[in-house]
Amino acid sequence: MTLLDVEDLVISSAGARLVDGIDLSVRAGERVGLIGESGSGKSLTALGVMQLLPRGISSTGSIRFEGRDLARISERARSSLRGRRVAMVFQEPMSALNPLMRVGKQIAESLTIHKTLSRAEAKEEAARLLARVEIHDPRAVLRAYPHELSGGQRQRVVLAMAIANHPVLLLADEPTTALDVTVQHRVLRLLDGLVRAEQMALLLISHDLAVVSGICDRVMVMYGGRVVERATVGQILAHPRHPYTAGLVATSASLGGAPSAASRRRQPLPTIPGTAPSAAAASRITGCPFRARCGWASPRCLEEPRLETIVDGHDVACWHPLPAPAAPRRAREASGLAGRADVALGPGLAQAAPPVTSDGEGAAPILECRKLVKVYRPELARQGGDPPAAHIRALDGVDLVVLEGDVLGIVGESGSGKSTLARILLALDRPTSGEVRFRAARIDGSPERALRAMRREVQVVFQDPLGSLDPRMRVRDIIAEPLHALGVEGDHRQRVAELREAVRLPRDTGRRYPHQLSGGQRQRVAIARALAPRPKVLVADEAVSALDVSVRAQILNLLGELIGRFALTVVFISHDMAVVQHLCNRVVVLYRGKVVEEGLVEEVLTRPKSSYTQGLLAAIPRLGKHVGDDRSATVGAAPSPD
Amino acid sequence: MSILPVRLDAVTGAEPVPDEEITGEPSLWHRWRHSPSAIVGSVISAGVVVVAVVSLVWTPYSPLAINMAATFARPSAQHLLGTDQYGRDVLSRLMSGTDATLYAGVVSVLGAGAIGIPAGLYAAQRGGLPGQLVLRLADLVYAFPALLVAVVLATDFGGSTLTVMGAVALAFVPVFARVTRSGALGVLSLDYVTAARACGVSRTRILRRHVLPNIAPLVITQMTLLLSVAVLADAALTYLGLGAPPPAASWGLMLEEAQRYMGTDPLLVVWPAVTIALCVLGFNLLGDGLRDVFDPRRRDR
Repeated sequence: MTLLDVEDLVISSAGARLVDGIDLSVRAGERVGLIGESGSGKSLTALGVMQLLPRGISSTGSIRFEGRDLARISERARSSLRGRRVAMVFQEPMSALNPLMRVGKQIAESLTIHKTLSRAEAKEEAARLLARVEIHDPRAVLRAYPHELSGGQRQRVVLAMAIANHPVLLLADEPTTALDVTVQHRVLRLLDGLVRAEQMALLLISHDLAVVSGICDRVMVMYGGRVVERATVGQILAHPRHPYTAGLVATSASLGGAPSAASRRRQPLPTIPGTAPSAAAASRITGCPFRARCGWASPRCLEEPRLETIVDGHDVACWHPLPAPAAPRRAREASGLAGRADVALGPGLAQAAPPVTSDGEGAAPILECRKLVKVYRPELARQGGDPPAAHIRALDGVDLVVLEGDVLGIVGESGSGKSTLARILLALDRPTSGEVRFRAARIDGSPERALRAMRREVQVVFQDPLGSLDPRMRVRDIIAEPLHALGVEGDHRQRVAELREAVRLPRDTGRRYPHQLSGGQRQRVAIARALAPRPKVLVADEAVSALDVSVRAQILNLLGELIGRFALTVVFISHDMAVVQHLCNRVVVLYRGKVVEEGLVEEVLTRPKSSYTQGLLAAIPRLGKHVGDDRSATVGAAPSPD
Repeated sequence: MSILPVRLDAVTGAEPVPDEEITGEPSLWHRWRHSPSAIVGSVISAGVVVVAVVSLVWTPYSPLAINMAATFARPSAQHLLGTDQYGRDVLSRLMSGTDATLYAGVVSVLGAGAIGIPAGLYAAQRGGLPGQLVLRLADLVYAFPALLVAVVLATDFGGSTLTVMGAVALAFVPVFARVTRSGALGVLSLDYVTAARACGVSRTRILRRHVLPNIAPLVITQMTLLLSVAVLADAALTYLGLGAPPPAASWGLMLEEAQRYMGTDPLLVVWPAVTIALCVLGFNLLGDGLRDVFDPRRRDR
């Protein structure tokens, strides 16, 4: 039975068609994934289905849910369906909860809106629901305010509210994107179990193919406000037909695959060239929205391809769908994407010095820290005299040696202290105790004047490319800033041009402002700035985490190439084991301010010693691996309360 | 969009800039045109400035020329707004007063900014005890009534434009310090400042290159809004006799004198009152408009 049947959904704002005619159907109990990068219109589609579009954005088309057209019934009738028959879960659990209301009351409210329950009954039911979403101490959580809970617990509370009235359809928009890997794994498994047990249908919206493939039956791939491919998970992974999907599969597969041998490290990843257009830009493209990035584009692509069925249950909107019976790897080659990655590097650059993986022997330590402790005293403690327990030990005795030529990965989840460690290594923050040395000279607590030599040799790239660039400076001034600040001699304009070439930014980027660039380009600017004073060491703090899947591979390729070309020593801080595995030769695993494991990447990934690392590795969503498939993710995991 | 250039991009590995992002967000000009307060505010403010400048070189009559033969004249072709109790041309006096008011307002706002902005930057940058000290000092000044300052100053130095400017400027210093500090604290916590520090950029350079340009919209908006307050304060203080003494052509003074002849010629009160209101309204609208223009999200909310 078809539960939700959306036909020709168009969502537009100020004349721009942000979502351009989408058909979508979900049967009872079915799990459908909606995949897309930022700007693809996937979240708007969800809001459009619920008729919850922000002011100024309107929709047309029919949205039949249980036989009634949501777009045509009254707002009152819709409200009675929302929460009762259809429920929604958003990315940010904090903003989905009222910060001034105790959790128990909020859950009870969602129960009493639609049902006539007494207060005592509602409270009882709320406790039962919290137990249902596997919260350990439901009674305590009922009395808590949202800010007292961790991200994972909050998302569980939101889930409890969502299933409170036994809806038949659950819409989840990036429900685990803001969570840590291990927490994500557990929440996804919970979601999977709940959907099964309650026999709900699920529409899961995500940018992450691996997450969707681990939980859904069918997948729809969106690009530029249109659905470009629709098939079962198996079909999409095995035989992607649309070049874009093929690119996504190839990118996800090469990063999320089995631990790669050292020889394949930093080899160019398959990428999709270019950037996904923003929703507004895509709305102006006539014809196939992907053709600008497509290796198969032909004049025919100026005409809009319709979504057509090629095999049973496999629809694709492309004039040149990839041939059918091809193994994923063949498909990738057929799409020309794998090959293009090498071409993308350009002649000469592809053969740039192979990465030096000295693996440590004989190299001198360049950056090291001993018994590093960092205690943050919360503001409250300072004023009110809370017990010392309220102090946060962000780092708790960390020893770390970075050897010259190392590409050291520091892996940890939120709260592991990895960013604090980065700040201390960069001498931007002082440790509470312990020492940091750069080339044997102490840098902790040194006055800024004494750090100039070190500043010149140690540079940094941050996570958020927009936030790390001054919005009021032109790109060329941003790149030149360290040259001025550190008094680097020589022709700065010349150097900026060199750097722009090295990170392969178009020539006219120099006079632009950061907001005029795409996310990938901004990160290229940040990398160029870091490389400006010819540093020896590059500290990258989650440098690719904020980027879209296809752009992430481009930046990883660039980093890999630059590491080889400039013989950089790198401290690469990330929550993402897959990325670390691709780029680094050594890895340190941080957990709650302590190093729980360290060693060569191959060793740690294939034979993790600590139970925490084992849990972390098992939690990584991998293509085609069902979330319920293995239980190891929690077996050994140090019980980090999510 | 043709296919060829894009293929070139693919080969060089450069990311093509999506069309929309070349234009970026709507320009300031575009936002200005869509903000009614900005338009009306700029027109009025520009008018005020033009009148002030013109009055420097030309007024219909001398603002001080007494003509006892034509006192309390009704508005006519000779005297567009009539004359006052000494037969002085009201329009000329209002025009000349614009110049005085604007001058006093601009000087006091700029003077306050010259002290308050660096103080705010210092407090934000230093934090700790020195930062707290600056803040508490600002609180102290803020708590001291500006009127009292004006009275004290007038007692010592006599009422004059300078007295008014001093009192008003002193009252504005803490406002600037607070606005600057909170804005600067926001900017200082951003990644690009951390990135600049990691690049070895010095503290003062960070303040000059990164913080100041990024809080400039905030400060400029604040200046415009304070200018309207200054106009009002100038009129009020002069009215109380703490500002420029007679026979100066000042709006506050005109109001005070006209009040005595309200029975004879009520229009004499109306002209300066309307002028003051219009001028305050203009700067206020301009300030609001600038805020819209600089921070469009705020207006959407």
